[in-house]
Amino acid sequence: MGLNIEEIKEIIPHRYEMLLIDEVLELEPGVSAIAIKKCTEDSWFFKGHFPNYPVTPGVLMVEALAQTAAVSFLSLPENKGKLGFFAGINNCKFKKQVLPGDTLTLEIQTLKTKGSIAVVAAVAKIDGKLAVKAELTLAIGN
Amino acid sequence: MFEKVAEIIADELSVPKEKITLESDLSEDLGGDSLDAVELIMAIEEEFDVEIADEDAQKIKTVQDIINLLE
Repeated sequence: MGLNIEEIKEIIPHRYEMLLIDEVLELEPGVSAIAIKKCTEDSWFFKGHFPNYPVTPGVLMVEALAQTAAVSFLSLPENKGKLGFFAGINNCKFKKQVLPGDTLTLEIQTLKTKGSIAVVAAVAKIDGKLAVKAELTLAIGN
Repeated sequence: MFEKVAEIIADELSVPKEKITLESDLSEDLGGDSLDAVELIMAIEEEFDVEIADEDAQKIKTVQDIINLLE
């Protein structure tokens, strides 16, 4: 089951400029999700990061992974209308520079949940090559 | 049992293992907050291959409480 941008906006409250996923390719609520983010040449963050060497900021890729996880958790009926907050970022590594024109594939897989806390394994890839990996802890709340 | 639990607590709450006793209060003595508590429970569940119910987890205050639950 995939989602287009309008359907994504029904699940998570993020909006331009902080909505950092374009499309959801696969979604299993509360379990896993795969989304894509196109880092097009006209993306707002390339302008200042950096003026003579545009490269996608690592923190925004981590945020895009968190939004992918948020889509998975907030599409559970009991979480409808809630928000996802960052509670932790562990073992985060950036393996590849993400340049204008690259398309990121964002994959998350739930490792464990307890009450309103979820821990997910997250990876971002370009053309199948690892760009970012991290373990993200999210708190689901109001 | 205590040794293993103390190791997990030291790791999750970033406190020296020597500081941890059976009587240690997880929040007052070891500085854990509610998120640390959840992460600690998750780590303990994984290590001991058990499931700790939310209502039991909420009653945990000291290291002894964790060991009582596991026994």
